[in-house]
Amino acid sequence: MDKIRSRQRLKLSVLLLLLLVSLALAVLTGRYPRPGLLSPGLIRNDPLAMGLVLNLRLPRVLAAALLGAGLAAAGTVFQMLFANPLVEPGFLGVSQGAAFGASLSMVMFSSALWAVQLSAAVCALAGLAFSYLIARHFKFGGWVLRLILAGIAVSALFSSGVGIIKYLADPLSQLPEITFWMLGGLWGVDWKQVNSILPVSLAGLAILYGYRWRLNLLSMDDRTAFSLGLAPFRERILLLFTATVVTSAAISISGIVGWVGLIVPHISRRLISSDARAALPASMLIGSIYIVICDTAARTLLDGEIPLGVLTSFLGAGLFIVLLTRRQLKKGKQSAESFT
Amino acid sequence: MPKVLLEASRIYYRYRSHSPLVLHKLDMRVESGSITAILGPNGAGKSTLLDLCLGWKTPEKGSLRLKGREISSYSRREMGRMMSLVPQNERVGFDYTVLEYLLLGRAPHLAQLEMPEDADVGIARKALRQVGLLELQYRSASKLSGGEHQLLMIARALVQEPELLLLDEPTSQLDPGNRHRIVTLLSSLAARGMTILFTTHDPNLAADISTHALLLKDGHVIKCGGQKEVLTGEHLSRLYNVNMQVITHRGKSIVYTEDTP
Repeated sequence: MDKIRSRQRLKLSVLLLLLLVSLALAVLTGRYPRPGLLSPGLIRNDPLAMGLVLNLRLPRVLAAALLGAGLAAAGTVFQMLFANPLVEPGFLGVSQGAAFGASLSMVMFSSALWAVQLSAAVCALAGLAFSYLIARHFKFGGWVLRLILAGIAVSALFSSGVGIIKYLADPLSQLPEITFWMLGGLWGVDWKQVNSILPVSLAGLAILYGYRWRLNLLSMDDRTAFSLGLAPFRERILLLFTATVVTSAAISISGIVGWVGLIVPHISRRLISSDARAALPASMLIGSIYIVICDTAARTLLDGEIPLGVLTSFLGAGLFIVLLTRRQLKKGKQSAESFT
Repeated sequence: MPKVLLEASRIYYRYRSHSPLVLHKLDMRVESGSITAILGPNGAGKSTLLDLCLGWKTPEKGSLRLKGREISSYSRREMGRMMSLVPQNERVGFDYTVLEYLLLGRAPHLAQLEMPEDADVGIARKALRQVGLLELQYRSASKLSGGEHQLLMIARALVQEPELLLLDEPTSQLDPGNRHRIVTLLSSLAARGMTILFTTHDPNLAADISTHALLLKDGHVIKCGGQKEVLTGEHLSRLYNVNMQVITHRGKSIVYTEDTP
């Protein structure tokens, strides 16, 4: 094994350790019996503390880890498949599609978890498909630019759809539900919700992880990928579909949690490597650590809860500005045709 | 009789159903172990012909056979093991090291979810040694010069261990030093039995290394065959619509353009 791969494996092991530490600390952190860390001894002796940790904090912390891993993995996959470090599911109509689907279900059909999840997933996939189809018909710019412009247009259409649904929603019951969902957060997450997304999320993450080396191949242009023996169109569709399902499963319980899919892949490329064999697992681990920390801060910093989506957007946008002003985005040469 | 590796017969191709034909009734035979140059003015259909050989484009009519079998009957992985492409330029999506970039060439030898192992790294290093870039293996592939990148693309194509190497204008953006490096490399590959098919705008490159040549104009083959027979002043003048001459100096053919009096 070459020396770079050995170093990458070491860094991934450190990240895994950090994730385990952050999970343990997050479970112990809270406002009971007083703000700060709960003593492990108290958990054994105090049934209330035990119940709190097992039934409230643990599912929420696991949901945070799953959400972070899913969003960051999907962001990495989108960035690599479109060979563009400025792409994330939110830019291609996926997040707004999921938001529209979830609000539609809450107002028109049912607020039941399965209905919201299904509707969010279907509309997220529709958002991606619309962005793709519209981009193919645009008469302006290169492929990636057309795709991003189409994604902006589709996101705007779904946003206006969400606006109409909010206008029609019952202001006392449905409207607050939609508004809180749009702010993003993991309050009220229980084992039932975690279990409902666990199979889909784990299966999706496993597929993406299995394909991690092929992401490198698919980040090349289609003709090159084809000459390397791939069927690039088929493999891209499979991975886009999987990444979209992982994203919509995660945000169906959390609402919109932005910027994770954009920022975390940058950080993992900078810290570990651009090679997706290391960059994808690194993104999953860093995404999990990031959301676990953010969510713990969101529920403990103030008496009331700060919406998670607000916190990740604030931090994400700040990090984005810092990354872009300090150094060029870590990526290779890009031919002019990608943007023009 | 030399073995035919790739044979195109009566190929017709157009981009869209009602657009004009790009290639008309094209016939071509690429012999095993040969270096064939495809020459022609801009828009003659050279790159399109290369794309058809690769299977990236499909002919409207005609047959394209690789080792006697229709190209369309090969699986994608089989094709990736049989032939590799060195494009004119390409987008390198992210900041891979030279070694990571080269390992991409192992894709057709690996199953869907398999990843390169030590043996594949060994093959990549061997290719790097062949093109003289071994000391750059841990360098960022995006920070190489134009000449080094061209050599790197050839190395990646070699990592595929193909029987047929396709190159799209391999020296079009290179200085004379790097051009010479590529010429030497391609000649040594051919000497070891690799079959090479390349497009070029440079008749001197064809004269330097090719054993066979095909002249393409407006989608028609105007001449094909052995290099000496095809690369003549008369044929090249007809191809490019300028007065071209071929002289021999120390056993090498040199093509130059002469002003019409």
